[in-house]
Amino acid sequence: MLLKQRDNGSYNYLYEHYSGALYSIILQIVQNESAAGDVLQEVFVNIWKKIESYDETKGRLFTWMLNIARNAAIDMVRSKTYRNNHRSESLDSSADNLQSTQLEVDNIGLRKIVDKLKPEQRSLIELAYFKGYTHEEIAEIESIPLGTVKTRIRAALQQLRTFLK
Amino acid sequence: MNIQEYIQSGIIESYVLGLASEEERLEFESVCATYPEVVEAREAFELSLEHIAMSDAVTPPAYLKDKIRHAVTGENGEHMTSYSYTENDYVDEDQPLIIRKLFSLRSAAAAAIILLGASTLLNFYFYKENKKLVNAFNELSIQQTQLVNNNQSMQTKLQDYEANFEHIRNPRMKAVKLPGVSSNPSSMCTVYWDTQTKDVYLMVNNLPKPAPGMQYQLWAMVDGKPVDAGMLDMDKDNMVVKMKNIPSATAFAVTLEKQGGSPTPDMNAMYVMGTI
Repeated sequence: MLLKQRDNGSYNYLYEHYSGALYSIILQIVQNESAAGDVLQEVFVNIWKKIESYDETKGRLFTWMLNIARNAAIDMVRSKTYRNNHRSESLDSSADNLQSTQLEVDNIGLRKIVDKLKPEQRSLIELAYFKGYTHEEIAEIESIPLGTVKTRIRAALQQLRTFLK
Repeated sequence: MNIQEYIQSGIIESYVLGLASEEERLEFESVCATYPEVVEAREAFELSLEHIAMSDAVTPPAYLKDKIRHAVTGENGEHMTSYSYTENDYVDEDQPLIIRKLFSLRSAAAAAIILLGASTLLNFYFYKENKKLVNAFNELSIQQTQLVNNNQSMQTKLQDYEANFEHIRNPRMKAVKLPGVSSNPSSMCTVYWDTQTKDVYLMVNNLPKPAPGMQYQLWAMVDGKPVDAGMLDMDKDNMVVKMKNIPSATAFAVTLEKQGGSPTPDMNAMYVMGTI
């Protein structure tokens, strides 16, 4: 694969093709533009570093990059610095501004599809996919049995696929 | 395994979206290796996911492209062929990664300098210590040599004493007391005269220190005339000094003469005298 050569041309290709889609998923998770920019940088650095370990038989390149982006974004949201910054920013910026950003990311990409789910399924996907909680953590948060969490998430995912088709 | 059921179970979405557990992931990968229809279904879902993600892409702020390029290539500079750095790239405050690297380099350099300084100080300390020890060792060596020399001269002296003392102890040795004359009543000498070999030994019990250029001389009275019996070397500090061989004598006397002795004694400078 050409990308594994890691020259300037492959960086340009990668960035032109995928930065928008990756930035979008990052925004949907961190919901803050400056933090999303930092995450996007980290994501590209990671892609660049780990490109050797990408295995074509396990999935498409985009799927691989999407997962790197999702994980990095969730890590950012969970990091202490982000939480501190985000708190002070919410205090500083006007409520209007915050709301408009929020609305914008709620209407794009995967979130747009997830929004079509039934409320109880939507909240499970929100916790599992956008917040990165494990099934066990979700069972605790939602106070429902672990088995129920698994079946509901599976059902929600099956539903998602029909929406995507 | 009913593959159609497996495909419909939600495992594909779970796997692709990164929500599957480790166990589920491994199982899915092994199923994919056996059932091409599962791979097909997986790719179909991936493509529809990619499609929706692409169609709703949000273009990141334009400045990010170069900023990220710097961060990316800063980590893999050797792979970049068509992009060259200017010095400013390294100090740009928008590059936390590079700044972090610089900081770590800087602290590594600082640590290295501190270590070097400490090492230099230690080296200097050890050099000084070593020099001190070498000096002390040299001094001790010199003292040791002196002690050996002293010991040797003491040994020689002791051997002389022992040899002389042997003579005195000899039963055939005749002791002649030479008391001080009236002008020098505190002076006292003893002559030991070997009756067999006729060797004469003089022991100084008490004699004043001679003036510079002067020396005590032993005389033997033979047939009423004084005969030179040898010069006394007071410097040698010997207890008993071997003098000349005197075959026969009636008396012995010690006078103070000029250095080297005189042919005839100065009777006014007599210190001790004793008859046999």
